[in-house]
Amino acid sequence: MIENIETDILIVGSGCTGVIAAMSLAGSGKRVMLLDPGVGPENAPRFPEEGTFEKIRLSEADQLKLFLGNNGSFFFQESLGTGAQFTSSRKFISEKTDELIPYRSKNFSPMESLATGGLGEGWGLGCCIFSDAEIQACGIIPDGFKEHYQWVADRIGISGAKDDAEPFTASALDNIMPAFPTDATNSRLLASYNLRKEKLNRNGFFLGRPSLALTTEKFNNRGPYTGRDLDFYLNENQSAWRPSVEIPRLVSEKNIIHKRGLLVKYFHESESGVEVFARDIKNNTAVSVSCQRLILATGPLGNARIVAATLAPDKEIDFPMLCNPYYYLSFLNMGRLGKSPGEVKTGLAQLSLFHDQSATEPDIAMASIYSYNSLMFYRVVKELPLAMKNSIPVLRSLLPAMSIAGVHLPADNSIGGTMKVRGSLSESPTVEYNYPLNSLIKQNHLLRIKKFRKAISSLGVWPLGISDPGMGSSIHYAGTLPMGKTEKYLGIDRSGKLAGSNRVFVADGSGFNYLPAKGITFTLMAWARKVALNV
Amino acid sequence: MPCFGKNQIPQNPDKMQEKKEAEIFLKYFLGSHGNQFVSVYLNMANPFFRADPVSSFAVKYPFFISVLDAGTGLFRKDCLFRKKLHLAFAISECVCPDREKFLPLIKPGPGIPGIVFHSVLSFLKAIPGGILLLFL
Repeated sequence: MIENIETDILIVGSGCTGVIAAMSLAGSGKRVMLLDPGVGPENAPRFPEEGTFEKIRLSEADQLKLFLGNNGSFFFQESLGTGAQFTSSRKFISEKTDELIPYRSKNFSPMESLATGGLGEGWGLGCCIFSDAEIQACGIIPDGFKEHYQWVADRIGISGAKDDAEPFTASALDNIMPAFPTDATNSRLLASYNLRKEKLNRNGFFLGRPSLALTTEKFNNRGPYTGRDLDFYLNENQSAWRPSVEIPRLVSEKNIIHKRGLLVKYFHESESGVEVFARDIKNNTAVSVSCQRLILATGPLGNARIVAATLAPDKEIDFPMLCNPYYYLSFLNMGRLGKSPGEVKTGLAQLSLFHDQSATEPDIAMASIYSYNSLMFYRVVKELPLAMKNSIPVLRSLLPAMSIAGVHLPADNSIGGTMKVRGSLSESPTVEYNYPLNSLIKQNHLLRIKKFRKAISSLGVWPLGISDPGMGSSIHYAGTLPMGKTEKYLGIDRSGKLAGSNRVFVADGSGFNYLPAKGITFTLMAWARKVALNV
Repeated sequence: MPCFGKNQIPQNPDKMQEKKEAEIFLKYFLGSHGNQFVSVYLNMANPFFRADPVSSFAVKYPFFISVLDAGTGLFRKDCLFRKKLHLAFAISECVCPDREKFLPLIKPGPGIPGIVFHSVLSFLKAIPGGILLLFL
């Protein structure tokens, strides 16, 4: 017996893009339903409403539940892996994926989410604006796209600064709130940059404050962010925009229906509408949803699975796939060794360093610079070549002086990453990823990473090391359903419509033919807005 | 054929070994306070437990844990013993009575002299630890 539900517009996926599509369609007079597998934070530990990281560390009784959780995989896995930064209160983001959407791969470790809010619940909040060249390389027509950026910014609330990073970030948009102050370590980096910036600029490096989807002032009943330094554990005053902030408002104020618990398998389009087939992840019963328009926003990997099962069940399809290479660099600010970290502390990105090595090509790389705040010592202690017991006083001295740069490099189709899917109407699809990096490509990546290391070192900090968490760890994926000027099988057109379909649209990065290194989420949200207006 | 009474069911030797390891490793970081958290350790380590020679040696001769800790830090960073010790470290960070020592804002670090002192101490312990590891 199949349960059947009806709606006008069905949005599959409640991450950043699905929610922006829903916000764009609210008030359209249509019945809109947002659907997701609904893995939620219900079992995640609840943090106290007040108090800083230190206060909670000293006063709360159940430290194990708050800061460790009960899953030992972090300690016994072979490498750092994807999503190692997810603390006990964010573990739900990747829960049940091993069981419900398994995959095989020797060289690629993707992260997907079955949670309400999807990967957006772990979003680092960085908002970058793509240049016209980058937008065009993605496949989007740049004319008028800036309006969508502004529309999104006006609704999520962005803070930033007018500085050298402005041309790359969302700070150039209207209605931007002031940036949250930098801590002592990063203030020194910024001051040092201002003294040496001529040379750095000549070499294509530009440093400044990131623009973040963070309300530093009161904004739509949210914020302001005050810096309790608990960014890895909770969303203080809902100052960080994430889908879970918006969904309750969409449901209560905009009459959007939010249906949880369903994992979509495939759809069937006819003259009269679209029927979407899903499984209830709790009791494995079949559910179908009938709609007039379907918007897929499950992410490039999820969409490929659904499209494969729909268009060619029981056949193998090779989807192209893009992923930003990602590396960590760590630095030590010797002048801050053994000093108190100071009262200003935040786990969010504090600085953004852009490398624009060609004035004409869309080839910008980006580093987000963080301090090691509010993450426990145990997350890094294994990296020191010391006895763990001796590491405690050493880390207490080192960590307040440490900066960590997460460097994203751009990705195009030259690597030939693929996602091989054998879709099925009844079973889970089989998925195999292949993202081969030959030694030449790897060497080129490292060359660019070393340029970043040199640039940051020139600001008076000591480089400690380069970590390669492996392909997939950037959690930025795209390009499985490439966008074309004309309709192409297994692709989308420039309005976001799936090839061969009249009623199915794709509102996430599945169609992007190029993956700039600048944070992609804000552009995906602007794209989702554009697609929703075409539906 | 041996016959067992209700309370004499032989225990799984792996389980016994795992419990002993939990007790020893937690004691190393937490002293006698560690005993309360053996079940927490077992709960988290259990799905991944495998016996390994370094941990077995440490259980037999707990006196050497400190040098094995230093030795593996320098010479065998990814060995199973260090992963098990890492879990015990994490538990101790959460529950130890003097949590200030993990909070630089409350108790700033000892600066360069302290870093040098603790690093040299660790390297000195790593020498016998490294020699021991050659045989394990």
